[in-house]
Amino acid sequence: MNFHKRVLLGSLLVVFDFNVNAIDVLPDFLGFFLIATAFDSVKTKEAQVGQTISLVLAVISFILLFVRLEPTGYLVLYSFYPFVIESVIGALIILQLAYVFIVSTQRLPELGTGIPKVFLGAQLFIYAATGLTPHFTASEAGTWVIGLVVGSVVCYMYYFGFLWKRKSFERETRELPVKTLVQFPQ
Amino acid sequence: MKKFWIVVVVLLGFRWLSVGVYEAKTVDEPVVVASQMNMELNSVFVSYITKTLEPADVEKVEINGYNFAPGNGDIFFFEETPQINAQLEVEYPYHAIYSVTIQLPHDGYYEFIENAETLTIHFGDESSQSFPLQVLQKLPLNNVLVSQSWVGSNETQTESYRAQDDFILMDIIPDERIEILSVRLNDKELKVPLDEPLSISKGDSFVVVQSDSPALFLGEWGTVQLTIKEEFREPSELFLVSAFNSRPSEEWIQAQVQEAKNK
Repeated sequence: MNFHKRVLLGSLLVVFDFNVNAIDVLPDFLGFFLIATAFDSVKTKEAQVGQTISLVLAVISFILLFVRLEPTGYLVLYSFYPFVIESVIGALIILQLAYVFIVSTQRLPELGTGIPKVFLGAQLFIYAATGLTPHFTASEAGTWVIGLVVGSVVCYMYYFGFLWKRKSFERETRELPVKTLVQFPQ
Repeated sequence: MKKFWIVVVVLLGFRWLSVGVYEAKTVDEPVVVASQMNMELNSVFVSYITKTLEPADVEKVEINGYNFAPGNGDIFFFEETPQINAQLEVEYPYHAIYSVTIQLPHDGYYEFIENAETLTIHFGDESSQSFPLQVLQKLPLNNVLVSQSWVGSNETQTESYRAQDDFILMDIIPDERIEILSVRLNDKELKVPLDEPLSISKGDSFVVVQSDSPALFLGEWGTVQLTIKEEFREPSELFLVSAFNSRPSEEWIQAQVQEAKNK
């Protein structure tokens, strides 16, 4: 499985939650772990950093399977605990995305730079804007969060499209055996 | 890439600062601002200020050792279970007022709780607060004044009455939440408090203009007590009842929170 395919599958596991009896059958930590293995397939300094970030995210997500992000949970000391944890996860995910684009460019240099500034700028904006939510009333925050969710959906549609295209290109140029053109005598 | 890391770390700091500002501005523990037993409505009301994110929930309300709690079978010794409903009254960015209504199924409960002077509200976080319980007794029936029309805004309420019988108006006493702005008898302005008793005849028009107050719970009442003397009867009290229209302001809530923090 090539780099882009693993990142794509891992990201799908992270983004989509499918619960059966309150258990997420597509756990995020598996997605982050798959992305970490994707980084492992590329031997660059940036891929190592991306792998480390992905592994940290996998560990945090694994712990969160057992620790609820609620103030009543046994590991929670006070109410802003979920915000602190989620803000760390959010920051790490943005960094992970940036390293995916860098490593993607290193993996497929013939496609030119794959670092979309608008996409990363939008991610940073959504991340910062989410931090303003506590300063609204619940009804205002509801509207605000819906807007941010729509923005995130658009961003991830772009991201998945990006990975899909590059997955196919990587497969064709790096994985399929070179076809030999056989010319038959006239 | 170093710049990108710096931006992400700065935004992470912004997120934490944002939560820190929220925590500094909101209340740690709920602040009870009103409790009333309204015997006319067979209800007990409790209101409290709490934070907007993760507002405090009520575990039970204790009056005279009797517990009223949400759900079924939570009140001791009674078959019929009074219901507690908590609802959001007003919300601002850092504070919200929730009110709890305990609807009593019948008057029988009063013999257990009617002499209560305080009420203790237990919150879901295991904190509890006691608060003086205001008791609004059943209002005596009197039909000498019948309401004709009512006009209200967030600042004033004007209610017109028609006298159904002859009587002498001896005194007008508004409760502490109301200010009488004007009283008119047949379009003639009266001075309040009255200098001397006033005769009112059947068919007279009686208009009371009063200030409105913020309702701390759904349908909070204000009362104006009239002391009247009907022919061949002892002086009695007549209550003009009006529901408050306006909502507590953000400034008022902040003042209550500040007062609670200073205690």
